[in-house]
Order: sequence, then C-alpha cells, then structure tokens
Amino acid sequence: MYKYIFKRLLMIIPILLGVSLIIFFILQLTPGDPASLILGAGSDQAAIDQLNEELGYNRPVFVRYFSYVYNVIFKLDFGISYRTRLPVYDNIRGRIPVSVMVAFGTIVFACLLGIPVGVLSAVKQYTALDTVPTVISLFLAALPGFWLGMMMMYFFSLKLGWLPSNGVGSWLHYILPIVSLGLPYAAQELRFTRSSMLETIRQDYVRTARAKGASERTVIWRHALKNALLPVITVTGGNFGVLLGGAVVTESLFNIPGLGSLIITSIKIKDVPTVMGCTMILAVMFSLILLGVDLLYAAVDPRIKAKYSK
Amino acid sequence: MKDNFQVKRHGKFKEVWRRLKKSKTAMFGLVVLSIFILAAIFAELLIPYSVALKQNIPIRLQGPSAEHWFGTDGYGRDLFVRILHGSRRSLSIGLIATASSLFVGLIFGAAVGYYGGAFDNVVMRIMDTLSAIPATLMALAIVAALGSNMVNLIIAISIARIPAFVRIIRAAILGVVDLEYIEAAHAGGAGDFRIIMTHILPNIVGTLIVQTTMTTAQLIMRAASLSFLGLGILPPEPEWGALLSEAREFMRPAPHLMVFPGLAIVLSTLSLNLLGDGLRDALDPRLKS
Amino acid sequence: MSERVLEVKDLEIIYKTDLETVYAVNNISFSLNKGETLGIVGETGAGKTTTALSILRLLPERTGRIKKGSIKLMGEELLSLPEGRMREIRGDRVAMIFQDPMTSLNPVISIGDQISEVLSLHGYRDEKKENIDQRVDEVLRLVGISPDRKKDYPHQFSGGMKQRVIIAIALACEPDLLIADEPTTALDVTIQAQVLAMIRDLKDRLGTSMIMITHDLGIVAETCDKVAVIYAGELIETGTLEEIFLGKDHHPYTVGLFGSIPNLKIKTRRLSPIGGLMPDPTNLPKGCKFSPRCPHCMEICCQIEPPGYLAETHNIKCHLFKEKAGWKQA
Repeated sequence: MYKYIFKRLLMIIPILLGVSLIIFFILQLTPGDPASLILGAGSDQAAIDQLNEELGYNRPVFVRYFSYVYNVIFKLDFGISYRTRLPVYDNIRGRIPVSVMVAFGTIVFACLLGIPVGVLSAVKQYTALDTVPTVISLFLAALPGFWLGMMMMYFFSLKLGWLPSNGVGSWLHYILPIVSLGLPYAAQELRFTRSSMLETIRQDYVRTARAKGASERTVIWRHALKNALLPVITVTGGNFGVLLGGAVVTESLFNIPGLGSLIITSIKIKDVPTVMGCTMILAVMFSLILLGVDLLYAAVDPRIKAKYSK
Repeated sequence: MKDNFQVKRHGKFKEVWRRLKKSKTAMFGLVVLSIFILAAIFAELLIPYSVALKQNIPIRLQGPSAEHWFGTDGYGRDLFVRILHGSRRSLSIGLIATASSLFVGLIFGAAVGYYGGAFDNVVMRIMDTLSAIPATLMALAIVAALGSNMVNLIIAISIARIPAFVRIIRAAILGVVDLEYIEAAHAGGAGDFRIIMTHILPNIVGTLIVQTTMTTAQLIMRAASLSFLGLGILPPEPEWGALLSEAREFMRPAPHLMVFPGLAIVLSTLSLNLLGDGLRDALDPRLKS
Repeated sequence: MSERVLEVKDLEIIYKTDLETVYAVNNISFSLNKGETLGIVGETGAGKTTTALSILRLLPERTGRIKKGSIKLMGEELLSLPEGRMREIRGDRVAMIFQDPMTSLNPVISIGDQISEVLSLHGYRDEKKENIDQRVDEVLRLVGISPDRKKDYPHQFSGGMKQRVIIAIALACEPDLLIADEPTTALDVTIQAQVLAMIRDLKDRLGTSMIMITHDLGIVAETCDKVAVIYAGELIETGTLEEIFLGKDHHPYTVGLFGSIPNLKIKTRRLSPIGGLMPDPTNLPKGCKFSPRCPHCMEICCQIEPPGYLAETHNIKCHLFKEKAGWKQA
C-alpha cells in the first residue's frame, strides 16, 4: 500500500513542474518589466535598469524559470511582490488556511447535502422523493456561485441582517460563502450519486442479494451503496478544480482574505510574482486533493487495494 | 457506398429527434435556448446597440416598469436592452470558445490517436498537466497576461477544455484503429482522412454533441465569472457577468439589477444543460426504442 | 409416492410498461417431485428466466406482474405470501443460480462474507460467529474451494470458481429447490463439465430438487429426469427424459430443436436453426404460437390454440396429435 502512495506522490511531481512551467510562461507574456511595475512607469530609467538587473530580469527566460523553481522548492522563496516589495510567501502564508477552510467547508457541505439525498432519490425512483430533488438540483446546478452569493448576501445580510457578508471575523462569516459556493456543487453531487446508485441497483449482484432473502434495506446499504459511491469519490475529486475556480470569485465577492481574492487584486496591478505564487499553491492543493481521492478510492475498493499491496 | 452513408445519417437524425421530443425538459431547453439565440442574432435589428449604451441619469436605478421592462441601471440605461445585447456577447463567447477548443481538441486527438507512439505520450502528458490546473485559474492567468478583451477571454476559457475533447476523440480512434475493417479500408486505397471521416467520426458524433452543449454552458458561466471580476469584458460593454458586477455596487437601492442578468445566465445555462441531458439520452444506443 | 416439491399451475406473467404489454409466460403448468431435476429448454426470450424469477417472486417490481396462477412449494402457496415470509424462503428453501458468474458476486465483499450472509439470514441467524465460520468452511470445501480463501474477493477467482462460490451460497442452507438458470453458459467448455458434475453430485447428496434452465440439449441429457420445452411462454412439450430424447413423436418445434432425432449415446451440441423468429411477445399470433414457422401448419393451427395431447406422461401441444393413435386430449 505504501508503495502505491509513494508511487503516486512521485507522479505528482512532474505534473506540478509542468503546471509551473505553463503558468510561468503564460505570465511572462504580461507586458512590462518588473522594475517598471515596482518603481512606477515614470521613474528614472537608470533606476529601472538597475533594479531589473538586480532582480535577474535580463537573464534568458529558461534560466529565470529554473531559478524560480529552485527557489520555490528549496527555499520556499516565491519572489518579491511588486506591490509590497516584501517576499510573496509572507503575503500568502496567512491566506492559505482561509482558502483551505472555504474549500473544505464547501466540499463537506456539498457532500453531506448532496450524497444522501442522491441515494434517497435513487432508491425512491419514480416517486415524489425522486422528482422533487431532481428538478431542484437541475436548477441549482445551473446557478453561478457568485450570483447565488449576491442574492444570499442581499437577503441574509442586507435585508435580514442575520449573517455578515464581509471578511472572516467568526465562523458565521463562512456561512454565506460556503453555502453559495456549495449549493450548485451539492446539486452536482446529488445528480451523480443518483445516477451511480440507479446503475448499481440494476447490477446482477444486487439481484443475487435479493435472491438470498436479504431485506431491501440490507440490499441498499450493504450491497449497493459502497459500490455506487466509488465513482462518486472520483468525480468529486475531479470537480474540486471547478470548485477552486469558483472559490476565487466567491472570495472576491465576500471580501474573504484568501488566495483567490489576492490573485484578483494582484492581477489588476500586474503583481506577477504574487499571482504566480497563489496560483501555484492552488494548483498544488488541487493535485493533493486528486491524490487523496485516488488513495481513498484505492483504500475502499478491494480490487485496487489488492493490486498494490503485494 | 456514399449513398448508403447519407441515407443512414438521415434515418438516424429522425430517430434521435423523435426520442428527443419525448423529453419535456429537453424540449424546454431547446425552446429557451432558441429564444436566446434568436435574441442574440436579431438584437441589433430589434434595438440598436447605441440604446444599450445610452445614459440617462435622471431615471437611474428605477425598478421594472412598462417603459423599461427590467428597470434602469446606475447610469439610467435600460437593463432589458443591455441584457439583450449582452446575450449576443455571452452566447457568442461561449459558442466560439467551445468551437475553438473542439476544433483544436479534435485535431490533436485525431493525430495522437492515429499516429500514437512518442507523440501520443508527449501530448497526453501535456493534456494531463493542463487538466491539473483549475480551469478558472488558468483563464485568469491568461487574461492577466494578455489583457481584458473579448478575444483574450475566448482564448483564456477555451484552452482549459481542449484536453477533454482530445481525450474523447483519441479514445474513439484507439477503440477502432486495430479493427480489421480499417485495414481493409486501407487496402482498398482509402486515405487516412477518409477513414477517419467515414468510420470513426460517426461513432463519436453523439458524445461530441453532448459534450459541446455542456461545454458551452460551462464556458458561458466562466466568461461571466471573469467579466464579473473585471477581467473579461469590461464596462460599458454589456456582458452578463459585467452587468452583475455593475449591479453589485447598487445592491441596496436597486436589487433588481442583479436579478435579471443572473436569471439570463441561469436560463441559458440551464437550457443548454437540459438539452445536453436530453441529447445524451436520445443518442444512447442502449436505450430500448 | 414421492413428495411433491413444486407445483406450478396456469401461470400467466406479463411485463407492463406505459407503452406496451409483453406476454412473457402464457399458461404454464408443471410439477417437480423430490430429488427430481426438471430441464426447461428453449430459445432466448422464450420465458424461461421469467418463470424461474416468478418462483422466487423476484420479477422487476414496476413492470413484472403475475396475472394469474398458482405456485406451491411443498404445498404452500407462494403467490399469496407476505413479502417478509417470502424473504425467509428465498435462499433458504428455494435458491437460484444465475447465468453470469462474473457479475453475480458483489465485488467489494469477501466471498466468505457473502456466504455467511445467506447463513445469518436464515438457519444460522442466532448462531455464534464460530459456528457460522465453520459452516462457511464446510460449504467451501463442498464446492472444492480451500477455506483459506474465505477472505478473498471475487475478482481474485476465475469464472469457474466464481460460479462455485455462487453454488456454495445457493446450497449453504440446503434448500428444497435449486433453480439453475443457464449456470454454465458463460463458462469455458472444459469448466462447464466440472461445474455440472459438481452440481449433480451435490444435488444427489443433499437430495435437492432442481430446475435446470438451458438451451443446450446436451446438458439436459446429462442432468435431467424430466424435460419441458418452452416456446413463446408456453410449454409446448413435456415428458420424461426418455420420452423426449428417445420417443418417436414430437412437437414440430422440438423436432427443429433436435435437428435430427438424437440417440442418448450421442451428445447433441448444437441447435439447428429453425427458419423465422420467435413471435413478438407484445403481439402474439392467434391460435398456435408456432404456426407461422411450422412446416406442418394446418388451417386450424392459425385459429385455435392446441390443447395438450397426452401419451403416458408425454404431453404435446399440437393439433397434429388429435387423431394420432395412443394420444388422448389431456
């Protein structure tokens, strides 16, 4: 088993390197050089040239890339923010836990809401307990998270004053962002769980279980559920990327001091190192989640487990 | 042989259409989507674009009325007209971006599936890496670097979907490339292109159609998100996401400003999803007729 | 007089959807005595599996409906039992083996647990774990699998061994009746013989009665005491093994099935194709259901459904036997 974990961890590394390469080169297309952006475009040309030289800007692109990667991996040095002139890492360190809270809170919320209802909906197919959630989830899945956030902000914050809409003072502050981001996600979980469950119930081994005289409850809980949830695990992990993207917008909307909102402000002022740093961290988060999902799947499905424990 | 091919295609169309009609949700989606498309196409004819930009401060922030169906925004502009013209932008961005990623994805997927080898390996590794970047983040990075305008927005959001299309067509080709009838076709003198067109494409048309509708929905939303953040289409151009960001300022006095653009996004996305779902069921060969 | 294990009378089963009604089983009657094996032979879609499922009352809930008839197990009427009681019977008094071993076992539960499940549901409900484990070991040995593999998962077994596990599950509670629905169709030819031999052996040892559903006449010849030929949901010919294989008179469909009348000594492997297809079960023909394909079709065949004609225990549903010597209307 450990061999499998190790192998998978190793596989992430080239992917992350590839990601860093792609993002680095995309951001290199940004017009303007670092010194101009730091000192201001109207500054003294000599000062600009000198700063650029200091920052190593005049080296060839690939050298800069490798030096960046080296610094990140071995020194946790993401460069200097063009805005604050302080190390990027210091800026983003405090924001990481916030983004993690939002992201995980959302997944947990979405799964706790969507999966059980999806199971119920599948088991009670053709009844109201199926049609109602299906219709609602169709609608919810089409809602943009940020619009839902705006509407909820209006009702629960402005009109009713129940919940705060800005920043992260208390756990209450997390409610609106998590719910607005999580409802569409929950709808997707519901739909996928439902279809996976429906397919599983039609499998031969479920019929075998019934032929043994097992009660319907046992058939569902013991035989169908575990098999049905396996693909749901994988899909949930895959959708996490979309969630991270949505979280960026939600953070911006609710003024949450996470990585997402920092990316947005940094983009607008062309603070490339900060954008790079935040994006890399989010990409790492995504890869780790995918790894986690893979491992979870392997732990739960004996077919995979057996393959790797020899 | 060519005649048979055409006849087969037409028969299948009718069958799929018949099955699609059975789904009320899919029909609803089709109808709503058609309304949006018509609105987008004829927007300019119905109400000139200049009206969408026309400011009229004295009547700003008014709620829906007989004159201004959706009310007026912070600059006194008619919201309905802005949404109408916004449909043109949002839909065309979604469609063009989808078409682009479909096109690029197909070319790479076909090349990779057919020629295989090291080329296949390299390209698929690149696709895996692209998939490891959350799509919105990648779009943000591209727009950050290239600047906020329609073309860059389209490039930015379409790139993230390329891997999906590459995988579909690659899988389809790999599933078929070893079959004997391909060899026979080769022996009969058929060129590679012809083989792909006549043997492989018809099998994946179904999946592609469904993926295209779902992708368009996703990309419309993504474009709206970016514009909302001020990183896509910028005001005063009326893209739905941009309209929502304008609405944010005036949430307290004029909440209707965020309701209508949002509904536009929701309805267009929903109709595409419903249509896509319906198409998936109608095209599924496993469903009993 | 041997105990009557199963008595099926006038069974009619339909599948009803919003669009159409499928007449799957049309007036079937047969019986089975203790220790006997009845072979139900027919093409795919003839109604064999539907009949089998109805005995266990496992027809698809929404669409399957037993319109009329009676199924008596050891004298007890199954069709009027409450579901709870039916569940007690499934797996305990009547067990079923399905066609495809590859998909009939739950991939995420060990085979030992899948066997012990059927035990805990029935006779071993209140037993201690050790006793159940012991019985699981016993049963595994019976089917030729080492008890060491109790904790293994289905994917670790070959097709033939999976089918043995399924047989183990089926026989664990020593049921009165075992229904085997094409148990060897999905297996290699060499494994087929092994599995069949094992089924026969176990059945003899435990005294289980069996219904063997198959389209393979060779298997019928090897394992069955009685045979019933099913076509379009009807039993068009029934009789003992000798009557069906050695008798001179047969239903035209049976003749087609056998190709040339075989010898018990020569194994028949293949069905010779009979021209045409089985009738559309949503739109069955008037009169005799085989009439469209029958080489001996007479005018009466298209009008009136033939009654059964009996000679000793050999029953044939065909108008050809109306005037034949030795055959009386049943």
